[in-house]
Formats: sequence, C-alpha cells, structure tokens
Amino acid sequence: MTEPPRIYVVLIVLALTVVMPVFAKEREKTPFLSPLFRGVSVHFDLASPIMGLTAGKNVYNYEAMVEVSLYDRFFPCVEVGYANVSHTIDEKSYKAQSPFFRLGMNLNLLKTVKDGKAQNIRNYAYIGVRYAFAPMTYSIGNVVVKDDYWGGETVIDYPAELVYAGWTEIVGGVRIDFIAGFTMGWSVRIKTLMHTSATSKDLFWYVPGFGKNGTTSFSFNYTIGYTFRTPETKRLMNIDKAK
Amino acid sequence: MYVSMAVENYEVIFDSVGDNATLRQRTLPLSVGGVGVDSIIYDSISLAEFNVPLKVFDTVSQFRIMRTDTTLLSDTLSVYHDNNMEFLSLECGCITYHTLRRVETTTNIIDSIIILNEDVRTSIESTGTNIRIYFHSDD
Repeated sequence: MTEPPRIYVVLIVLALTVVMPVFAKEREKTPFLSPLFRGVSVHFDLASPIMGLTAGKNVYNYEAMVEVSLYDRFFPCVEVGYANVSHTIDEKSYKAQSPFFRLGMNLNLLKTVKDGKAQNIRNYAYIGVRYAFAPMTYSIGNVVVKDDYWGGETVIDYPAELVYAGWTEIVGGVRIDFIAGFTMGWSVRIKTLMHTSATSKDLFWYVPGFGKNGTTSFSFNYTIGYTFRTPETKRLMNIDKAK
Repeated sequence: MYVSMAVENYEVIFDSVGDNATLRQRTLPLSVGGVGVDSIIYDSISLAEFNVPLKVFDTVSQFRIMRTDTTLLSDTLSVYHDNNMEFLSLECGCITYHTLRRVETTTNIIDSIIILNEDVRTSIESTGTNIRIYFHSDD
C-alpha cells in the first residue's frame, strides 16, 4: 500500500482547518440535539393543600403533574387534581367538589446546547402556559332573602348543579434536581377564568383548581417528585459532566 | 346596594287660552309611605324626585302620597310589577329586580302617572327614572 503524497495530507489538514470552524458554528446555531425524548417527570404538589386552606378552613386541594422532556427545552405536561370545598359565610353555605385537569407546556429558559454540545440540564428556570378545565358540582344553601321595608323573609337553596369552568394560566418557576433524579420545584401562577356553563362566574366562591372567586386568581406550587431519564439522556449528561 | 323605583314629580301648566302646555319639574313637600306599613319613607320633605322600594314577595306595591302643604286628600299609587330574584355572590346573597307592568293612581293631588323605564334596578345599574307623576297644578 503506497502512502498518499504528503501534499495531499497538507491539503486535507488545511481544508479541515477551514471547514471545521464553519461546521462548529453551524452546530452552535443548532438549537436542539438528539435525542428528542429526554425523560419523564412525576411530581406531587405540597403547597396546594396549604394554599387551599388559606382560602378557607374547609378547602382541600390536591394536585399532581406529569411532564415529558423534549430536548430538555420543551416540557409538555398534564396536571390533574381534586378539590373539595365546604365554606360558610354569614350562614350561607357553598359546597363544590371536582377533579380538574390542566394541559400545557413549560419552556426551559436556559441554553440546552452550547458549543455544539448538549448541556447538562438538571436545574432550570422556566415559563409556561396551561389550559385548565374543571367539571365541577357546586351547591349554595341557606341564602336568606329579606324584604326590609315591606316585611317577609324566605330561605333559598340552590341545589347541586354540574357545570364546567375553563381557565388559562401563566406559570413561572424553577426546577432543581437535588439528588439522583429526585427533583423539586417552585412555581407561581396567574390564572384567568375564561368561560363557564354556569349563568354567572359570580356564583362561584371557589372553583376547584382555579381558586377563590373573581376572574383572576394567583397560586403557588411547591412540588417534589422524580425524573426518569432515558439512558441516552444520562449519557449526554455524563459526557458534559466529564468535560 | 338596594333596588328602588325612581320617581320624578312634574306638573303640566297650560297657558291662559289653554292651547299650549308646558312641562315643569315640581318640588313639593311630600309624605310617602307604603300602604299597610307603619314606617313612612319620606316624612314631609320637599322632593322633586324620590325612590321607593317595591315588594320582593308580592307583585303589587301600593304607596300613599300626601302633600303636606295642603289639606287635600292623599293619593294611593298602585304599581304592578314582576320580580326577578338573582344570586349575586356568596358574600352579597340575592337581589330582587323588578319589571314594571302597570301603574294606577287616585287623583286627589295627582293628575296622572306614566312609566318611563320599566326596569327597576339599583342606583348604580339604573338606566333612568322609572315613573313620572304629574301633579295637579296650583295655578
């Protein structure tokens, strides 16, 4: 086997020194590196029971969430929960119970690719949006109606009615991998009640998953859970760790 | 926040020939109260307009209206209305709105009466005076 002429080797080396930086720049521009699917996280919210109780002493709210990591940049998620409310104001009672569902996506605000290499995304800040829905049953009881001038009084009960309420949420938060896949996070949410099949939004004192009355609500979540990462994702992370 | 019927007082003044009529808002010393109720809503107060509550649990509300500057007999104003109870919120409870159907009056001091706005709502939600009373002119 004959050796290639030295001139060819020099030309190849020269060509690579010109071409490689171009490739590297192109790779830097690439926003995403394979694999697409990086893992699944399951979280339980520890704050919502407390947030519920701040609205009223008989407001019980529980929620959990599952999210999928795509390129560690996008996190489509499903959140499910259940709330049971029994509240009294001036002898008027309000009861509501319902599961609620949220569908949306978080966006990791950190760079997932740097110098053409996948970054080790364990902790990140994110923003996100949700559409949420609650098929709720509510009832209002012991509403006293008085005619102060002419006299007379009656008590009205509005029997249990099944209605739906839908709202949107804007979410901002952080997610931290504190040990070997166990993750926790904080988030704040601003919620806007969009529509309901009830005759008026004013009928609701508390909407499961949304919160207390009005058209805008605010909530805080503190979640803890586990992130299942694919072997390829772990390999990517280890590569970056070694670097 | 109360629902009450807004009333304004007017009189019709004719010229000497009696051909031309002029409308004029009238301020009169009045006593106004519900028929069958001991409590008087306005007790000898000069009024050009006033508000009175309609019955929540009945569809006919009657008021006794008396001029306190004359010895003329009082009039009884009968208001026929529908009631519509609405739940506002858990904090506020219910409110009853009314829709005026018909008004009648005796004619001792009152000449006539008309409905201007049939929807009786709160002062915040009101879209205008509900009824106008034409009193007999003193001239």
